[in-house]
Parts: sequence; structure tokens; C-alpha cells
Amino acid sequence: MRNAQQLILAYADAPWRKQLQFIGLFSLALVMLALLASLYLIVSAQATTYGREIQNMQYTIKDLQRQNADLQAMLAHVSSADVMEQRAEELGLQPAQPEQIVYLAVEGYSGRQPPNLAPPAQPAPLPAPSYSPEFSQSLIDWFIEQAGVVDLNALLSEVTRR
Amino acid sequence: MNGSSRRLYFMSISFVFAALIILGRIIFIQNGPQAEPLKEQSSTYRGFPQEIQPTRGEIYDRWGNLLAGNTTVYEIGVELQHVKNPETIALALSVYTGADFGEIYQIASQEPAPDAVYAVLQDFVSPEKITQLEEFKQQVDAGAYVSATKDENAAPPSLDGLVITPHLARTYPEDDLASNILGFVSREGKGYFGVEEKYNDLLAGRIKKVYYANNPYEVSSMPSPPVGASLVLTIDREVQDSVQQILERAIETSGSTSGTIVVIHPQTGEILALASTPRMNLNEFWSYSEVFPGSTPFNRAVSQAYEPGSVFKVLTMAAGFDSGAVKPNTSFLDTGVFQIGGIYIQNWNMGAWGPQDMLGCMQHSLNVCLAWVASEIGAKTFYEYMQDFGLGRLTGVDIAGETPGRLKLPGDGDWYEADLGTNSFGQGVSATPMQMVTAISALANDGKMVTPHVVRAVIDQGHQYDITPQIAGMPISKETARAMTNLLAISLEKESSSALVPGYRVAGKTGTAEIPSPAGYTSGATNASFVGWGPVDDPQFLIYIWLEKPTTSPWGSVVAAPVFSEVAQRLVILMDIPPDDVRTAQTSN
Repeated sequence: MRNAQQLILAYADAPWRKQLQFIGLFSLALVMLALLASLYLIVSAQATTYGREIQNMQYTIKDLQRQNADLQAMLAHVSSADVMEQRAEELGLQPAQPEQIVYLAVEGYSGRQPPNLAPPAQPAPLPAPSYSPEFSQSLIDWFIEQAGVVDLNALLSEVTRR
Repeated sequence: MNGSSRRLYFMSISFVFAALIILGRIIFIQNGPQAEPLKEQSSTYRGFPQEIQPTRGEIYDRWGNLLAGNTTVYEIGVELQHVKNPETIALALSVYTGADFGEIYQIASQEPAPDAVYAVLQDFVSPEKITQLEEFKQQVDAGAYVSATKDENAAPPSLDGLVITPHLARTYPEDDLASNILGFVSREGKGYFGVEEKYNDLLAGRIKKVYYANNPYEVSSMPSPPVGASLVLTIDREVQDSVQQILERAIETSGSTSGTIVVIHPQTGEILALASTPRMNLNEFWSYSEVFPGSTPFNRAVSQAYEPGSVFKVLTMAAGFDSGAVKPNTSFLDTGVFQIGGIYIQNWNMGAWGPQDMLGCMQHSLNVCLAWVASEIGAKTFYEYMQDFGLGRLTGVDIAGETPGRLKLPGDGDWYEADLGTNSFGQGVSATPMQMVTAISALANDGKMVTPHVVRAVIDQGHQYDITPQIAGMPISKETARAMTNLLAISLEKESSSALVPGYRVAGKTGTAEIPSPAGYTSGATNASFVGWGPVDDPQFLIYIWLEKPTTSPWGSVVAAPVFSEVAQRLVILMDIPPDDVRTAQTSN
């Protein structure tokens, strides 16, 4: 027992041990801080990259919508009544005359029907991803919630009982 | 305390002191007098508010052919703080986009103000011009050009600061096809005339105020651009094109000053074609004032009321039949003159046609007979019928700029008994072709008058909403409508009218109306009209022709009736309507 006390005193009296202890703790804190900072930087960088990608995609969508409108207008122009008539004439076609037309009765045919021009139904949107609160809740939020749930409820039930 | 410990304490105190200084400075910056301006400045980096003009909805014909769409054009602007050489910018735009050099130079030379760092130089520039401009910019950036001035301090040629932004603008792939129906859109995005004006709010959509975040963390809140509703018209592009061509030829061959043809489906009120002159290329809407000088209406079918003349007699006779005042076999002795309200009504040839029945009255278009029929009906009943036919009020057609015409009524300050006589054959009363079509649709549709319309469906938020045809009233009975149709069909057949359509039984009536001037009916100019529908057993089309001031002949029977036949012959092919014998054989089988 005495030997042990002497050993502790000797350890405590050695200044280099104290320094080593201090340096060790400081280095540990520094490493922890660096780890946290790195983690934060990595998460932030990823979020920024994905955010920028989303922005670029939104600009691309706008561009594609414009291109779509352009192509639609171009198609309408090259198939316009005047152009089609000109092309038909170049191919040697002529407007049909009444005496050239033969009508056939087709069972169940009710004539040409106007099309439905509404865009095709979109697939149902994917359900929004749901995360449990642990992924988005801060420690303080969690404390507040826990305190609110436990204490307030208990307190309220106690008050109402009395 | 030894030396190393002192150094350690000194270092610690230094670090703490430095940290306190930084903390104090942070608190001072965030709460000092400069805090507010800095916060405002930071908000501009976070994002920017913007008004999004929705993409204007498209317009299609009944078969899905695009009549009005959108195409990319460009806005050219300058970021003033980045401009290095305004002269190069002005020169480039004057050469490649036709802009005014002085004007561009003045704008691009401005010093940027705190609240104005961007200036628009030109808008609605075509992609072709932008391609040329961008090629020039690449050459300038590559140093292909040097300054012509000998001043060593002069800035080298540069298009720095030039910003080219794409956006959508209205385009009409069919140019002038159905231009009187469609109307056009100004550069401010407002619709003028036709469907573009009538449905402007629907097509344009609602402007959305949004905040665009620069912060990538906030991108999820970026809104998707809204889109205006699209319209599907009742117009058949092929029918419209054919009718326009026929109208052009008719105006040319008859020497008319203008013309209008309206084709509707009498059972639904759908307007299948509407041609009117003049027409304009809608892609060059800035030529509007040249194409439509003075008070020229954009669409005569809805905006110009005129005295229709003898086509109006079908309404008078229908009122006579329906009220029981006359019957098809009622006899009338035409002495060539009929006195009413102190004036003498005479026939178109000033002659007396002797004993006639009602078929003869319509076949020979006898003013005297129709004035007598109107007097038999009585003023009160006659005008009640005319009001039931919708005369003197708007038809409700969904095309902008409709005018109601004028139907004087007993009790009005300017109505005299003589008006009953003249109104009976379509003089002294004014109506638009669309009003006449609407009224006469009752005769072609078993007494039911339909509301004419040009929009068949609205496409909004991915759904198509079809418009239900509306019955505007039932001014006459089914029996009267069928009797009138039969009478007018026989009338055309007995006349061997040039309006007849081989293979199809049609009903119709010509009209020739003198054009009033301030001095009375003295000009000698006429309005030639024809209204007809068919096939009479199941009417699929109702056609109204109006040629203004024809010079080759003043008579509707000469200039307008053949046009009806030509239009009907094209229609039966384009609408796949088999001849009467084929349809009858098919029905009997």
C-alpha cells in the first residue's frame, strides 16, 4: 500500500508526465475537431454539388421545353396546309373530285373522330422520402421534445387528476 | 513558475485575447450601423425575385394541327459593369440584327448605377441572327479584329458584357390561315382580336412571382414554370384552307371589294371554317394597320353588320308559317306593289308576278309578297320572332369584337310602320353574317337555334375539357323548320339554281341588298349573299356567303350562289358526306 502511494506521488511529481497528459488531451480534442470539420465539409460539399446539379437540371428542363416548342412549331410549319398542298402537287396529286370517290359501308365505323390532345397521363409521382426524426433532429431538439413529452404530459395528467 | 510554463501561459492568454477580439468584431459587424446595408447586400447574393410569364397555351384545329404555337427568340442585353467597348457592341448589333448604331452605343456606354447594371438592347431577335452574332463574337474573342483607331489608349474590339437570353414567343405556322379567327399576340404578350383576345386570360395563364435562390441548399424550393391552357378549335384546317381559296377566287371573279364565308355545323354550332377579307400573316402582326386601314374590321363575320337583303326572307317566311299567318299553299296575288306605312314596296324587277303561293314568293324572291306576309303576321308578332331569332343582340360567339347589329322595334323613336315592310325582305335591318347564320341554324336544325362557337375543347393541367354545344333558343317549331327547308330546297331545284350540289339535296336562298348611303339607296352598289344548308334530310353544314359590292353582277343569284355550290362540293368530300343515294341505300339496308 505504501509502495503504491509512493508510485502515484512519483508519477504526479514528474512534470513530463503532466505535459504528456495535457498534450494527449489537446491532440485528442484537435483530432476530434478536425474529424467533425472534415465530416461537415464533406456533407456540405456533397449537398452543394447535388444542389448545383439540380439547378443545372432545371435549366436543362427549360432548354428542353424550349426545344420541344421549337420542334413542334417547325413540324407544324413543314406540314402546314400550303406546304402539304405544294408537296402533293409536286408528287402529281390532284384534289379528289366527287365522281372519283367510291363510298364503302363499313360496319361499326362511325367516321373520323377528333383526337384527345391532352398529354398522356403522367406516372404517379414517387412518394416523398420519409426520414425518421433521428436523421434531421438536433440534440437540442431531441431534448426539448423529450422534456415536453415526458414532463409536460406527466405534469398535465397530475394536475388534471388533482 | 519556470520559463516554459510562463511561455505556455503567455500563449494561452494571447489566444484567448485574439479570440475575444474576433468575437467582438463579429458582434460589432452584425449589430453596428453597417449591419443593415450588409444584410441587404447579402440578400442579393442569396437569390433574386422574378416574375415568371407562363408559356402561352397553344391553339390547334379540330384534328390537332397546330395553328398557334411558340418558338424561341432572344433578348440581347448588356451587363454595364462588364462592357469594355460599347462601339463594338453597337457595330455588331447594327450589322447582324439591324439595330440602330447610335441608340445601342448610347445605352451600352452608360455607367452602371447601383440599381441598374443591366440594360436591354433588343428583343425578339431570331435564332438565325443570334447564330451570326455568336460567330462574330467568337472571332472577336479570338482576336481576329483590331481597333481601326490609331489611339493607343483605345479599347480593343470586345463584345464583353453582351448577354443573350432565350425566351419563347408566339408563332403561327400556317401564316394567314384562319387569321381572322385566331387574332394575334403583341410583344407584351397581350392577345388582340379573335380567339387570342377572347381567351387571353386562359391562354396566357397567371404570372407567377417567385424567388430564385442561388444557394444550392434552397434549390428544392425552385418553382416549375407555369403553362397557359391550350385550345382545340372547331375549325377544320383543310376546310378552312379550301374556303379561303374559294373566297379569294370569288372576290376576284365577281370584282367584289371584300367577302366573307362562314361554315358551321347547324346541329352543334361548331364553326368549321370562317374566311373573311382582308387577312394578314399573323407572324407579321406589326403590319396590322397597313392590312386593316381605318375602320376596316378584323373579322367581318362578327364585327360588320350589314343589311342582308333577301336572305332575310327565310326568317320572315318562317315566322309566317310558325305563327300560322300563312301556309305553304297560301295564295297571294302579286300586283307588283304593296303599300305599308305610307310607302310602296316593289319587287326587285319592278314587275307584277300575278298569283303565287309561298313557294313562288320565295322562288322569285318577291318583296311585295314578303311585305304582305309581314303585315299578315303583324308588327308585334313579327318583331317577337325576329328577337327570338337573336337579331339585334350578340350571338355569344367566342370570337372577340362581335357587334350586335340593329333591329329597330315598334316603340323605338326611329321605327315607323314602313319598317315592317322593308325589314321583311332584309332592308332597314342590319345583322352580321354570324347573326344570320345563328338565326338560320334554327331552320336547319329542327327549330333549335345553336350558339356558334369556335372552341371545341380546353386543355388545362393535362386534362381536356370538351365544350358542350349550347342551344340558344327554339324560335320556331320542328314542323316549321322542316317545311321551310323543303320549300327552299324545291325553290332551288325549280330555279335550276347555280347553288345546286350534284348528288346532294340542299336548301338555300339568295340575297341582294342595296347598300344605303347618307342620301338613301342611291349608290347602285349591292351586297350579294347566299345562305344554304344540306343535305336536307340530315343537315351537316350551313354555309353563308357575303360578297360586298360585286361589279360583274349585282345579284346574289349570279355571284354568290355558285360560290355556295363550290364550297358545298368541297365540303362533302372533306367531311366524308356520301351522296344522298348512297346514304339512303345505306340507311335502308
